[in-house]
Amino acid sequence: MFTVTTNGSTTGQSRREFLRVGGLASLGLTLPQWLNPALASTDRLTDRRIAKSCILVWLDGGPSHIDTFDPKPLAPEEVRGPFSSIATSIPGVTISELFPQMAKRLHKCTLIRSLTSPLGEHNLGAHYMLTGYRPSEVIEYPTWQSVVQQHTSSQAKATLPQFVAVPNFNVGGGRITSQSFLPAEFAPFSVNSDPAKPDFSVTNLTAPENLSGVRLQRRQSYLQWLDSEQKADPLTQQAFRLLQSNDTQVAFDLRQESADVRSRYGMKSIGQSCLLARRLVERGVPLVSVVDHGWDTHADVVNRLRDGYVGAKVPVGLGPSLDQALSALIDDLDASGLLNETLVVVMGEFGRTPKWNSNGGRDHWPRAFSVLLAGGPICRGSVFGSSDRYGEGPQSDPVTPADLTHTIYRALGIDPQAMLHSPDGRPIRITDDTSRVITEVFG
Amino acid sequence: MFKRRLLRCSDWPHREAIVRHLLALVLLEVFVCIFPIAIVSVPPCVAAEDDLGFIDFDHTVLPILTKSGCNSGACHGAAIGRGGFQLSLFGQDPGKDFERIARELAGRRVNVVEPEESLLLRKGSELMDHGGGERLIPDSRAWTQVRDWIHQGAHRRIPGELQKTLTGIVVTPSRIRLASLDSSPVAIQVKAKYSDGSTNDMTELATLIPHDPMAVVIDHAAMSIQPRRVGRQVVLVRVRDKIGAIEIIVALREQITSSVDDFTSGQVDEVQSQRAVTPSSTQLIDPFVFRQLDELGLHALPQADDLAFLRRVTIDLCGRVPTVEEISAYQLAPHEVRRSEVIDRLLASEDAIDYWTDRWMEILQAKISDNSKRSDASNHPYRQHIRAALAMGSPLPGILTGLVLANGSIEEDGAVGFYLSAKDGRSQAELFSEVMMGVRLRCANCHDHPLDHWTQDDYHGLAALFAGIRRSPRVDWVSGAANIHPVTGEPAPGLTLDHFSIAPDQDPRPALAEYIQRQTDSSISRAWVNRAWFMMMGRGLIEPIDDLRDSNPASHPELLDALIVDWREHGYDWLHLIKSIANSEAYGRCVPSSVPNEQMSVDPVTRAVLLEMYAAREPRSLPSDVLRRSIEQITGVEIAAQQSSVAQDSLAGKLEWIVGPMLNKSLSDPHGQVRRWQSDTETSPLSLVQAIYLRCLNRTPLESEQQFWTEQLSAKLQRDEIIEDMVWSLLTCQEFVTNH
Repeated sequence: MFTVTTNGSTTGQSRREFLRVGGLASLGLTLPQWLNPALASTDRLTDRRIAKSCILVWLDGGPSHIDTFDPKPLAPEEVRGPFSSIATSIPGVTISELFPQMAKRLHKCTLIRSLTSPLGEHNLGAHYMLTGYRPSEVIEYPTWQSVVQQHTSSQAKATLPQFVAVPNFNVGGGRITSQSFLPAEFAPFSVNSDPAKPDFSVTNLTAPENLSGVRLQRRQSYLQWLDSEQKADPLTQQAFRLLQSNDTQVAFDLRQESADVRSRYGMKSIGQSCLLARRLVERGVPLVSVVDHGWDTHADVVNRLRDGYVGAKVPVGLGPSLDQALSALIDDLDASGLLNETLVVVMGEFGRTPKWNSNGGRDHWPRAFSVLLAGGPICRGSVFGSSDRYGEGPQSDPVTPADLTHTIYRALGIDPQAMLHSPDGRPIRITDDTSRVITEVFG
Repeated sequence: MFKRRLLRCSDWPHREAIVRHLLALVLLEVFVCIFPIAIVSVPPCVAAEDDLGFIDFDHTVLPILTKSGCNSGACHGAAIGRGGFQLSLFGQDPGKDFERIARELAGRRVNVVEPEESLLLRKGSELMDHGGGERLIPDSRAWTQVRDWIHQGAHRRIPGELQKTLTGIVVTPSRIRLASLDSSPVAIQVKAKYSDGSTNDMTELATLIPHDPMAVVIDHAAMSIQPRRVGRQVVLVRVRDKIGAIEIIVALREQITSSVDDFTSGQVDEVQSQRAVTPSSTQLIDPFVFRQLDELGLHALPQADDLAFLRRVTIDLCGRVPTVEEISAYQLAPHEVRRSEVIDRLLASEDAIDYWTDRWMEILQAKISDNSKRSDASNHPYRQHIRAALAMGSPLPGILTGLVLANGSIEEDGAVGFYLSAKDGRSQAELFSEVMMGVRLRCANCHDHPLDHWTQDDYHGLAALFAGIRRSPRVDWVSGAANIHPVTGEPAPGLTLDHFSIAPDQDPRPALAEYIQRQTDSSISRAWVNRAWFMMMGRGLIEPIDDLRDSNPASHPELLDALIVDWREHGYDWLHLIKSIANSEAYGRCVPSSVPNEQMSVDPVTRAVLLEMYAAREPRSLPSDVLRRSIEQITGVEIAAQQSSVAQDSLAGKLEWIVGPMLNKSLSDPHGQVRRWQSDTETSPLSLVQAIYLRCLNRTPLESEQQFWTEQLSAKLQRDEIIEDMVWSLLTCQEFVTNH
């Protein structure tokens, strides 16, 4: 068997590479396993371990890999940055001091430290990470969450929306529509309201008082009477079910959680959003995206990532808030057993420059960055790939956003070879041709 | 021949690769040593091979690969190839494909000494692992031909012969009329045409691709086709990268209903009398529609009833439902002229101009909302420019040349909006071809168009013309800008799509205006007439309407031609075209659901044929701007601009309609129409129901409806709420949100 080292290559082991290494076949060697890691992984990923739902925590703006999950404690100060690193529950693995809670739970997660992409602009980087395709002039691809929804949709029976965006899907500069050319029913349902606000409620999810109960029923029955000869429209039916269901209100009602639980997640937007995501997944919503804004830290990193504001006694910046939210989410999902069937993906559009800039910040850096995965078939307690000593590029096992998407599809039981049809009829595979599944992240 | 092999050996970059051909090399060297002189003197072409039948790469091997699917867009024909092996899409570039098959990888894809060991054959027949599976069955004719080609030395062409190029194909028969599905399969013959004027039978190497694979059985062994479904079917024929089309029409064996003519209902009698009226445009359009229906053995459905027609035509011409006043005026007019009069009246209204301006802005793909300073898009100078042109009845070529000649700021010349709607030369070229001719040039950015004659040179030549357009935000043209051709890496030479060269230092806009003048009678009129037809009838004579090409035949070609001629005779006035279509019988027919079930049982296939052939009217969803205007008119309340969620196609949209403010605010407005109905306690419930129906659905309620709603409205309690919920349901139901 061959050990595969693909240093410097972003495509992994493709047949192209096989051809390049040349006439091994002529020496009588056949290498089917070498050629086809996907085949091998089929055996390793049984149906039992396929995730049924997925929570994407999107760190909008591009989190610094060095200041989060890939610290470089031995690097010079201008690379190392202002934060120290701490040991984690995986022996020998350290992460930034901003994540003490996650450090204790890293043995439940897999960290990929060798993500690499050529795209260092928000819209482009986000498009690549969220669709698995580099942006093209010709077509805008749908995100993998919308594709998953399309391939697993059970809208006809569901009451709750099947893909919920908390608080909305405004990511990577806002040009991305999740469903792209897919029908609008595969767009995420945005709650359009900040779960951390005391008056949090979802737009149009609750009928105003004067339209509740008997009037809603009357409207539904009038409409059914008028449309009796038409085919039942699944979206209308779902909308009425949703408005009349107690479960809906309960699913979106964070007041049902005890004050203890709410504060365990943290009262910031990211915390309450993760709590809402947990509630939705518990109630059978297969796809949730949580967006945390503000990670585009070109300046003032100490304040923005750690303290939250100048002179804060308890740090409440992006890092500690995320730490609290994620650790509570992982704890709860694990305690209820849901972590076994819920894939959690934490990522942004790229990493940030290894070198500190003159404004006390870091700029865009797509050549190396990290992604945190947990749940479903994901290995508990491993680190895959590494960046080089200053976090400038991948040192081992480079992973492209296309590979990551391919892997996510596999983890969710979606056939990576499945085809989509563009509006002009072009067949488009849901995964990029050059991508591969990273079987190593499956436990 | 041997010399070339030796040269190639020295080119091998990978020493390991040599091992693979060790045996061949040793033999070769022995051979060279023994017969050095003889080898040099042997001409490269071996006469004996000619006698065997020389297999040509361009005209045999490539068509085989196309037929086998190797160079399709989903496989090696993709722009980046597949699995490290890239071919041009469908064999558009034989020279490059030859390089890749016979030269790349140091020629390891072909093995002249042991042809069957060639990578091309081993992979293609899946003797080696091949992601694409088995495409060439060993010992099949195609496989044998490829093997023989390799055996003959894997040459591109017959040595010494001039290279001829494949220019197109001729398919016979190209129009097939069958009386029933019982007819035996129709054999297809395909001839290739070459640049030297010669032809050759290529039936065997042709691929037949039905638009609807469920509807036509293709026998590729016998090269015959047999339709499985009545109606019209199209089958594409491909030889290598050349495309042709076959149209098949199968008549419906039994008349779909013998009772259409016996159809009895008061309204229909009235309608039948309409058929006696034959305005000139009926002569223009309907004979062609009827001829097609006769061929199919189909009866057209009767005309829609009068009020249904009024609602339809008001929506289609003015983008809103009719008012109660319009309904009464219409009903007062004499039967014979009602319809044509209302068409004239609507087309003369400001609403019609506004509505068609909006549609034009969509056709022009106008980006006017980006202009942050102008909050009100309806006052945008580009829109005003188009509106004025439509109001004056300006001829189409004049409007279009005005767009390409535009210059200056948007305030000086609203037409520069055409340039401000694209961001660079390439997107401008795509916009130009889509807007002017309904042609998707986009494919030709990265490869020649797979289904049309457009090449990458056409695309980048046109983009080169637009490269010098500056949008800053004043629009002007400067020389010195270039569009780099992705293949050559050099600036692409500027070309109009009909291949007039434009010098790089010449402002291309006048030349583009001339291009429009040259093409108006053909491709441009075709696209715009097709658009008008689509907007009025719900489907194009050519579908899809933005993908016009030779391989996409019109369902009624003569009708399309006749409309183009008539439009030219009427000065290319857009509203004249709309009027012609609105006055046709085909436009006025009823929708299938309005015919009582017991009188007409129509299976889904027949229904589809009825709609496709304009024997019946196809119901369509109202666009969101039409919905908004109609709701505003009915409720008498303006919908706030930020309440944009009029579309119902998502869960959020549905929730908005049911409980959101968009519709509900209009229903509960104290100055709105609903409040007036609520406070009117004098009128009887029946009259109230009739009034509400007339205003909301533009018709009188059926007896069952009268009964249901009067019962509801007679309730003593919650009468106001019941009225509001009734109006809500009438404005939400399928009947309201559909144009039928």
